[in-house]
Amino acid sequence: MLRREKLLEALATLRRGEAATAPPTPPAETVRDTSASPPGAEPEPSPDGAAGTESTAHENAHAIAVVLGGRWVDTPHGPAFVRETVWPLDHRHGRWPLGAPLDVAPETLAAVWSTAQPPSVRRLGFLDTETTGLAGGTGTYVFLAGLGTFQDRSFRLRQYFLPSLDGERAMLSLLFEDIERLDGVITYNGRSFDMPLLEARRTLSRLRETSRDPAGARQHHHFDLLRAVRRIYRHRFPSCALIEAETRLIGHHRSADVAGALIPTLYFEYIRAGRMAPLREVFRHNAIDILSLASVLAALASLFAAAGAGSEIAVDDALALARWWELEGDPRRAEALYRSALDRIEPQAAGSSWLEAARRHAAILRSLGDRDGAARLWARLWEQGDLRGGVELAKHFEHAVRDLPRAEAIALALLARWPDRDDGGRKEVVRRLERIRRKHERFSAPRQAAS
Amino acid sequence: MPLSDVLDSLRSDPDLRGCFTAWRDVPPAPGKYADFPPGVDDRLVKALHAHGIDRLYTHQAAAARAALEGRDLVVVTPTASGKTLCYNLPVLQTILSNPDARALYLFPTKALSQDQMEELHGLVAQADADVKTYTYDGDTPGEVRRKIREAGHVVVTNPDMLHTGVLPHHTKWVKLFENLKFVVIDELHQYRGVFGSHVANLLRRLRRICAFYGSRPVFIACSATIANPADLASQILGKPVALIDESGAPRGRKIVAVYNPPVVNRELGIRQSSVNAARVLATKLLKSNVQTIVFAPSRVRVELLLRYLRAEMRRRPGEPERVEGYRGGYLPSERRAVERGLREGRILGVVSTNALELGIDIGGLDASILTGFPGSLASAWQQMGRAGRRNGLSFAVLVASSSPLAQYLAAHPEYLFSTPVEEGRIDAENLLVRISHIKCAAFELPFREAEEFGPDTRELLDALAQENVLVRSGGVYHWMAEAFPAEQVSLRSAAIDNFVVIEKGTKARVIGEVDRPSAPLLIHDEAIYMHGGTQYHVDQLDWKEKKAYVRKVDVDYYTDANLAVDLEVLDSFAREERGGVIIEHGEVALKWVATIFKKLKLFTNENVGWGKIQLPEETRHTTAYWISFDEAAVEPFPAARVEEGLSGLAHLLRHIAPIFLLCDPRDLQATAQVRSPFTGRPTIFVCENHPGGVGMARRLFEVHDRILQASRDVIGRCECANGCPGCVGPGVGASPGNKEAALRLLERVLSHAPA
Repeated sequence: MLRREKLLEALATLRRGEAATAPPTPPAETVRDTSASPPGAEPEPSPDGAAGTESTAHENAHAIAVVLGGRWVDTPHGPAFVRETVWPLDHRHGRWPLGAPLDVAPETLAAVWSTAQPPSVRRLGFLDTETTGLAGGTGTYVFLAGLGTFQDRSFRLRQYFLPSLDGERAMLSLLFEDIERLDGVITYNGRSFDMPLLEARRTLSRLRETSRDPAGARQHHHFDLLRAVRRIYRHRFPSCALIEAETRLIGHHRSADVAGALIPTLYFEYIRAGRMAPLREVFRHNAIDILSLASVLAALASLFAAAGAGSEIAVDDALALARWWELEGDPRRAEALYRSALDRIEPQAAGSSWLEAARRHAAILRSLGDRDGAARLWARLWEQGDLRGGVELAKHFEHAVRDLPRAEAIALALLARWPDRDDGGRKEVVRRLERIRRKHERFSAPRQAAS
Repeated sequence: MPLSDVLDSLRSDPDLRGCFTAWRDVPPAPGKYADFPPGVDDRLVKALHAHGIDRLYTHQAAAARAALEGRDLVVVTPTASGKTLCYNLPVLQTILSNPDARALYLFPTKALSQDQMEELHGLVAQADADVKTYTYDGDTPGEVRRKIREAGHVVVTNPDMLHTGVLPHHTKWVKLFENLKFVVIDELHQYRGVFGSHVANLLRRLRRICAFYGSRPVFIACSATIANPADLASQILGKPVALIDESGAPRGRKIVAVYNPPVVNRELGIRQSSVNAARVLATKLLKSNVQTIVFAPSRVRVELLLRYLRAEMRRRPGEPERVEGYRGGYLPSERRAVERGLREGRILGVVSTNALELGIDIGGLDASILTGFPGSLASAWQQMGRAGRRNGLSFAVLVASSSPLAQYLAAHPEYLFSTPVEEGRIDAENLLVRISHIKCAAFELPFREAEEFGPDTRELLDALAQENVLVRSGGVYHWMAEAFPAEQVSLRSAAIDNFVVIEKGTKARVIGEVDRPSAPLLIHDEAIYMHGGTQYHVDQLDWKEKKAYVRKVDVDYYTDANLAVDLEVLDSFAREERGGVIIEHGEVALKWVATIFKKLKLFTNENVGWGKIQLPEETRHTTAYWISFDEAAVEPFPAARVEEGLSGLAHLLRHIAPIFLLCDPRDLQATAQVRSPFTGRPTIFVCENHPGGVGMARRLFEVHDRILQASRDVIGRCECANGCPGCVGPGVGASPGNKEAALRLLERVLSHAPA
């Protein structure tokens, strides 16, 4: 007895010592229940005993709890391991305090998530997983899942760990129990990666009435932040990976983070050789991911809120949001944003986005029935030498204004500038020119006859 | 003109009649019919009535009954005997009575699975039933895939897709696997040799997954005629199966002939080419309105024959073409149109590769012409089987090419008629193949330690755990690696990715596809790529992007590319010396590169130019077994005889070894080198065709005395004079001694064999 307690103490000391020298773990306010007894285990508490051998993880249950800093929870499917970390709402992750998403107005959330009735952020969980690979398929295990939720006055992260391969049902049952208590989850690329994988694991663990599952009685939401980040920043970020969003959107810089590519190996080493301590880095990595999800949501929301309030936002942001509203089928919001952005772009500047933006803006104006506004933009585009602008302008004079001489003049100028390689486009201009001339003759011929 | 009159005129034609070396009259057989099995849904019966089917053939009824009773079975019946109904009937019947029921159809190729859909769709539409049938393969768009997984009653796919796209993601297919009632495996005879060994293990994986979801599907296999269908089926399916091999389909009278083209150069003994001979025969048949299929051994020859026959069958302006081509690489829509045209009789003639040898429904035709021997007796009979009317006369003729094998058959047509068709052999327990699939299987579902996946599963699992791929935990082996094992295992020896052929222009369009091994030969820069009788000039082959850009041309030549093949020994794993003979096995690199192309004039084959082909050399590493002989062994023979003896021995080994190695001759290739650069001596190599090899070269080395003795017995017992396909292969020309030379070489090896 004594020996065991001494050992535990020694390990705890060791852990603190390592924590001091090792890269800092997430700034945990409290770490609960680290010494809770594992159910029904008689441990040989050696932190580096092999977890994957026949001796199973249970003998190492204490060591796991101590080294990884968590507790064992009983489930109908056996013991599961959870580590819980709590942060105050004013804890800053990058430029945002963790509580920032709580202050976002419902209409802003509705915009970010393209949904009419967004559930409260308090009813959602931030979810991210660590896996044994990126290949997907049934042979990829989720060995760590983090679920971050807002509590009364704090942000709580629960990390569900797979301590041994026969503990999967217990882990998943606990995780899904918690997920299903919520109204939905927020992920980053979870739509194509984390959730399908978790669903696959659940099916493999026979944790549901497989195909006869009526897809849940109440709607369970899944908001994937990658969708919004991709739409708004695709052309500006070298990639839309979370790490990129972190540095560029929320100003968080990871220090000494474990390389994502190394994560599966660390788990394999734990399973095969019982090397437990390095996994703390994975827990930390997962925790940062979750905190970043909250801050990325805050960052996106602040952009939408600013745009919605009519504040001046950066030109690139305005253009990206304009496009967003176009895709969402809200041309009026898109129009306002294009207008505000176009005023501030220099058409001739190198790499200018003016051309594309002006074309889109003109198209929206036309669709909203503002033909004159559209024509003004086409005229400016045509001045800048844009052939498509010229074509639209010619159409405008031909059909809307019925100024056939001007339409003809533009068509002629277009023909002179049209590149030879685009034979199809050229032929179209020729057809237009011929049609304009025919109309012209038809309109002018009777007059000549009358005179 | 009725066919009988056309045949009379062929036989009495002074130019042709001497060329028929065989003319067999196969008597007709009446149809044997049976009623629908009891309880078949009225909607299905009505749909079949609408298709003109009022009762079943006995084999269809027997198959349907067995399948509905839950028995695994294999159906072996001739071409066009209504084989697909043998499985479509029980499958649709089951789905109509239980809308949750699911079926999985496996066809050996993507093209074939698409071909088969039409009939099923037709039947479902007629029955006015809500039965959803889908093709699931590499071409299926993402958004459709989800729907198929959820709602597809019949999912049609191929082994490669099952291997990489379905089984490793089985949790997305819960509905299918929980309710899987039938697995249909058509063209079973294709799964021979190493490919078959892979498929047998793939089906083991499928059964594991079915068991996990609690289903126990009935397997229905269909095979063309091979020597041992029930045996092959039970090996591939891993359990005994019922054999249904008595066709109830009626058969009309049929003439089967062998035609050796006339000698056109007496001094050199050169005969008219088989392509030209086939053209002459086909023209006579087509001009008499006889619906004819012409099989040609390569895509270029298909296109040449198509062009020639269209020239012969010149139409009046505005009339549609009555002769079409058919081969791999045509667009699915083009193929469907030809199939329909043939069934409806709008198309009078079709020139095809062996693509139409398979079970695509084109109805029975009047005549079938084989340009050259297709390589196996089973293929030859399949192709000849395309000619066959339920009542009335039909005609099939093999036109011999100049190859020694075809010439042998022309000279000894009784060989064709009396030799049993080939056996299909697999080795489901091949260690390398099995380990590959154990890895895939462990990825799909953890292995319980008592579970069996062939013999000694436990030991293999332990070894994989040692390899750090699996982890044993609580008596269960889990996959514990980042890799996706199915992607590292190819079921086939050749890559199945295709190059696309794009016609340039304002609206560029894909006109066809070319499989990768053929791309250097058919769509290199400046090649004339022929498609459906139209010529296209290849302006550029983008090797990396797998695209060839072509434009339509009309020129009087075609191109024929030359492939240089080389074999290099990389490493010798083991070596045995006996007398002066050295036997080894080891690793080799097979290299091939397209070097030059010739421009050959249409019709005359006159050489009108050539060019170089600049494409990267391709290499395949594999394993080989080789025997090299000392000078004393070859001393008694003149140089030419040495080469013949070596080639004879190579031919013999390639055909005898598969019996012992449980593989197919196409899994091996044998090469004779009079002076091998590696051994510096006369050497024969037997190489595995599968990339990396699957251990057959080593096995050959281990058991070679048995194989060499068997080979000697074969020569000793063979009654032919100078070699025949059954022993050392027919010699080139009439050299009397190659059998003897091969025998002497064999004796040399065996005389020093350990007792």
